[in-house]
Amino acid sequence: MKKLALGPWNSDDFAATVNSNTGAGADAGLPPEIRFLAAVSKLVRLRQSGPNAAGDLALPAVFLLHTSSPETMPSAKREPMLNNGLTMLNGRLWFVNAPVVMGHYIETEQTDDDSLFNMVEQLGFSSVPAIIFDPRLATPEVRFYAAGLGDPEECKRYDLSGGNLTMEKIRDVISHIHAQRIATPEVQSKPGKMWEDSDKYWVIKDAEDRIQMYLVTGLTAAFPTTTVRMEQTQVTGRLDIEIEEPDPIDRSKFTRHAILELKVLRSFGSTGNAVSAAETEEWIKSGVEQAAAYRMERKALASALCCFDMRQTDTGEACFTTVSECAKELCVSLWRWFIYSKSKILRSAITSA
Amino acid sequence: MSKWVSEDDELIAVQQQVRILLIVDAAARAGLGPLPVGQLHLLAYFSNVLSPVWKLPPLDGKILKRLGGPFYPALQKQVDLLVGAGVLFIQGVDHAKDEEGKWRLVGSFSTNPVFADRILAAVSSIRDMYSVRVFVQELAYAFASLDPAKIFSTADQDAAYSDPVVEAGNVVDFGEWRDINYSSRSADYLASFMASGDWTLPGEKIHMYVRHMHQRLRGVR
Repeated sequence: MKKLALGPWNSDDFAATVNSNTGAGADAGLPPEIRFLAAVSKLVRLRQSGPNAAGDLALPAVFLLHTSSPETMPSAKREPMLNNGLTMLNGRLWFVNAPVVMGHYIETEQTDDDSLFNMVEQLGFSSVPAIIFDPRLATPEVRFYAAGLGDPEECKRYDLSGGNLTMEKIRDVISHIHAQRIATPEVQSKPGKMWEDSDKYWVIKDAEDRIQMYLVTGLTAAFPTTTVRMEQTQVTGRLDIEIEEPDPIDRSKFTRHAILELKVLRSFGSTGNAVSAAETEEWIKSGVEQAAAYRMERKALASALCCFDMRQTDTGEACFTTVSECAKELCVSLWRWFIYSKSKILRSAITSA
Repeated sequence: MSKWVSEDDELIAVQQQVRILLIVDAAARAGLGPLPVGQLHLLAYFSNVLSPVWKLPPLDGKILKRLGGPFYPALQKQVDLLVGAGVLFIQGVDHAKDEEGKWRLVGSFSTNPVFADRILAAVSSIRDMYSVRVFVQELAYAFASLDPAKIFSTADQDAAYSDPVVEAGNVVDFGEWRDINYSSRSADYLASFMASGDWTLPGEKIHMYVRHMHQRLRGVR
């Protein structure tokens, strides 16, 4: 990037700032609970990989998504730069904000799990989203209680080992997101509606944006030790998602696991303009080329073209026939999900299958 | 970048009130609440000067440089109106003499959820405004990582506000008549040092910009 005049900052050492600070903010706009999960996972991993972890207490660390320490606990200590990994986490009850850049803590001094849960309940935080990291386990993991520690059955476990992300896992997660959030108008959220007019198969103008938001949120929730980046490079609807995993020790290094090129296939645009088969074919071909080009440019391990098919008729994988050889040569996976205009069409498809 | 800011006084007043609510709400979520009046004006300033990073227009592209840090009299008038209307709560009310010898009421603000939540929900349903809300929230998160005692000093380190060419009592123009905004430029330039390069997201730039001000506050440049 060409350096322009920066006024009083002209001669500043920006590299030093970047090298000495952990990045935050890539997940701006995601739901607070998802950011909380991703940030705590990265923080625990950072701390566990650092030189001071060996001296940490062998007691669980509890994180609550609650921004201020209760006034009843004046002893709570503030850690304004919590995400730098220099502070011991274990044996403490943390009150943090969503990106976990700041937190307050009190010592728990609880040696058994039941006492820990009771302590949180007695303080009145049993319904606040919570995460527990237990350093006594051989494989590092966090337990996420989205509904709080008052509902211990609602717990999801996340492995913090890292480095085991495969394209199959990514595809499985997208399939899950598709089924839960995208497949039919009924499962789509109000701000995430995909159809301008489902009776006429008119696709909403910014369908790619909406798909991207669903995927970034779902992938971040599924792989909390990664950073899921999105980029919109053109107004023509080309969108990319990059899944990278920061090195917990050297923050200047990371593994770029995958580049996902998103395409929405349409029969009609948002105002009813028809999209021809030839245009769709060209659209898919350009997607394959872009996925390969970005993988090479970004030195990612793998890439995939993710097509969300909103056409009138579900023709299965036939849309990839003309590009399958090319995709194979360029090492681009071809993935497709159909988006139904009505639930009853999905039910018919399931019945006939 | 579309400029939706109208010159119409009433519209500007509404925009200022919405910005105040967004800031006070964001500060509470970040752990900065109740928000002292000085920090409210400081965040208002940064929500203007760093708005190009988020591809948003500033609500106000200029500010009178003061020894005591950013302060918008017109915005304060709207803060007072919101307190009077019961949309904002104020606590710790006191009076203090500023660096220019003028007496001013001080206090810390929080939103009254009975009114503010409905206003914020309505505001967030407008796509452009939702984007502003996400931006202001990220700004508040970034500032929450600073020592509270030093937050107010950040203006002294900001690339635009601390420009020695502009002396106190003169206008810092970063988007009214002038196209040069040292702050947003620096935030974009910082991204070129980050491993994510061209893929660096606006939220990351905001956080790193605030971290750089922190470095400068520590005397490291």
